[in-house]
Amino acid sequence: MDTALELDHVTRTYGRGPHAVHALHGLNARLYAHSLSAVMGPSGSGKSTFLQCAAGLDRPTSGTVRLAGREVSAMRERELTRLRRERIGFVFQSFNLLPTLTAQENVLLPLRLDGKRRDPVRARRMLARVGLEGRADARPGELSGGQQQRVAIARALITEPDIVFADEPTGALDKDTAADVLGLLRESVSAYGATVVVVTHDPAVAARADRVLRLADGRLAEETARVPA
Amino acid sequence: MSLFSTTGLAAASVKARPSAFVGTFAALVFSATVVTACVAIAVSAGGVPASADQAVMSDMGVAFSLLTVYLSIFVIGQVMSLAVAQRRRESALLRAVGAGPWQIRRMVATEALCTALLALPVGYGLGALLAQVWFDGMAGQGMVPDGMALRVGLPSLFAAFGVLFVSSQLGGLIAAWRASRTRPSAVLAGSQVQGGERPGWIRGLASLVFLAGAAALTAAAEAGSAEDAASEVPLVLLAYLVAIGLAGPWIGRLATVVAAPLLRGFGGAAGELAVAGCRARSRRLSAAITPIALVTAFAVAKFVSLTGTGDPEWMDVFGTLLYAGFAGLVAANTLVMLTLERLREFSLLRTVGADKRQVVAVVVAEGAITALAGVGAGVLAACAVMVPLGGKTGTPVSGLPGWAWAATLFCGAVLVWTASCAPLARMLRVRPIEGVVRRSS
Repeated sequence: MDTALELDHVTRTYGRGPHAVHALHGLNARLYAHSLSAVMGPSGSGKSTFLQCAAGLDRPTSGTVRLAGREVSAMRERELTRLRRERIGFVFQSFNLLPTLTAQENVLLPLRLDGKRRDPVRARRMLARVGLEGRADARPGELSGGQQQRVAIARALITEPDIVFADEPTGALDKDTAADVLGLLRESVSAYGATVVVVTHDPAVAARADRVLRLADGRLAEETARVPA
Repeated sequence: MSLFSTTGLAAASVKARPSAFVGTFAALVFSATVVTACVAIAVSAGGVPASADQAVMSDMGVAFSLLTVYLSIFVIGQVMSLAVAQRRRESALLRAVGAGPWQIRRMVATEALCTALLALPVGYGLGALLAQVWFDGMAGQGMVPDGMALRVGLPSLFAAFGVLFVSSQLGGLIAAWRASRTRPSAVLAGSQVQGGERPGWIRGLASLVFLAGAAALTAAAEAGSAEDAASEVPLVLLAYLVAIGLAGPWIGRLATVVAAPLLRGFGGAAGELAVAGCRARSRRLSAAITPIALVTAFAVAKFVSLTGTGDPEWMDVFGTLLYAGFAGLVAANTLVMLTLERLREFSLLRTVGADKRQVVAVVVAEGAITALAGVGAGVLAACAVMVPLGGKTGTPVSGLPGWAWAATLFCGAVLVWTASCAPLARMLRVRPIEGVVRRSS
């Protein structure tokens, strides 16, 4: 199995002296390509910091982060921006889409920011893949919460990134819609070979993940891999 | 319960939103400064024996004092209601946990009063300086009556306090009334575009009525005597500006349509985002368009009428600066606020792969549209008044040199760009994921 993401002795400390907070405390973790991983843990266990550091949005105080073989922790701001644009997709709990753009324009945004030409066919194909045929011209305000998450997933996948980070993607959805969205993430892994890392509280997500990492106090507390059926 | 029993909440809210506080504070300081100076001149002129010079000076002081009071109430009301609108979500949350509308009103009123008390000494000090500069300027022109000395004292201080108190409480009331009507369920509204509601037809109709009224007034003034025409210019201009204020969303859309081909063609992704943003938020933008149009229209009309007088009089210059100062303040404050409320949007753009320059480019491109709409509408209004009436009063529009037009356009654009980009440096330091997750700035 290829390694998609590797964290090696990653420490992240906020503040100094007696008030310092060790959000990550020598975390070692490895996530594999073409799989769905869930990162779980109670509040304050370092989940958010893990996400920030892994995605190159925050620099670890010490240790290294490697994404698809490249050392993210050593990159400069400009390289990181390019990395986000070309190699990483994001899905958040809510406010994933620019309310002023249509679904199609939102999906194309990463490509447009990269200076690529508008490609409506590609966007429509991607929207169809997430089950939103015919909604390309809808604005986020006209879509349900579940549909908005689907658009967000389409946007995250359109660049064919090395890895998609999803931060509580089902947190704002009801049970059935959450199951749908989770199914879509699962499918993008099994059918299209994407690599998805979900940071979540939701045990339902963990139940369908290939691998579950549990964090506690900024360390890896437990790692379980699903036995292939 | 005492007036100050909610101070905890008010103080916490000021701490959490320094930018909203700064806007209100700046408006209050500006008002206090001008009131202090105007009252000082009026009082000082009132204390010397009657003469022609004395009468002019005294009338001028009183006229400016009244004008300032009126403008202060308008401006502070505007600035505060924007500051309160910004925390709709928080008000809704407070309402949801059981705060009554009156508790929210009292919180806003307390906040307004505290800000006014902080602004008073600063404004008073600056006002004393301004009065001195004004007085020296008039003395240089030989307009100061014999034996008059400038006295900035208690009358100025009391007047400034009175204006700040009344206008901050009135402004707070207007603002709080809006906030307290917030339905608790509004907490959940997340994906809607703020200010994206379609403007109603009543608003459009009212705009047309004012436009027709302004045209009728112009025709009437054209038929009357030259002196009447000169004195009616401000009134006609005001009618046009009310029409512009009402038509703001449509003007914004028109400017977007005009600028769209250029921005789409040369602005790349940032240009496209700016066009989409301006189109969707035209109602929000109209809050910035109106004051920019106001300052532009009055400045152009004043410049044109000054071409007739060989030596511009102090009173004219001061009056124009006063208008421009107030309107510019409102415009700048509105633009800062409009940028600030977009932290989540900018953060989202950055997680999707926009670099900081692209975010700045979006704001600059939107600023170009705003400036085009505001300055364009203002110039049109001024021309609509001065083309027919300017010839009559002996100051045709053609008398205004090209550099004056260029300077007006330049100042408008610089005001818009500076104010809308001012908060960006701080906003771009927020880590993108945090910015997306954060509920308000």
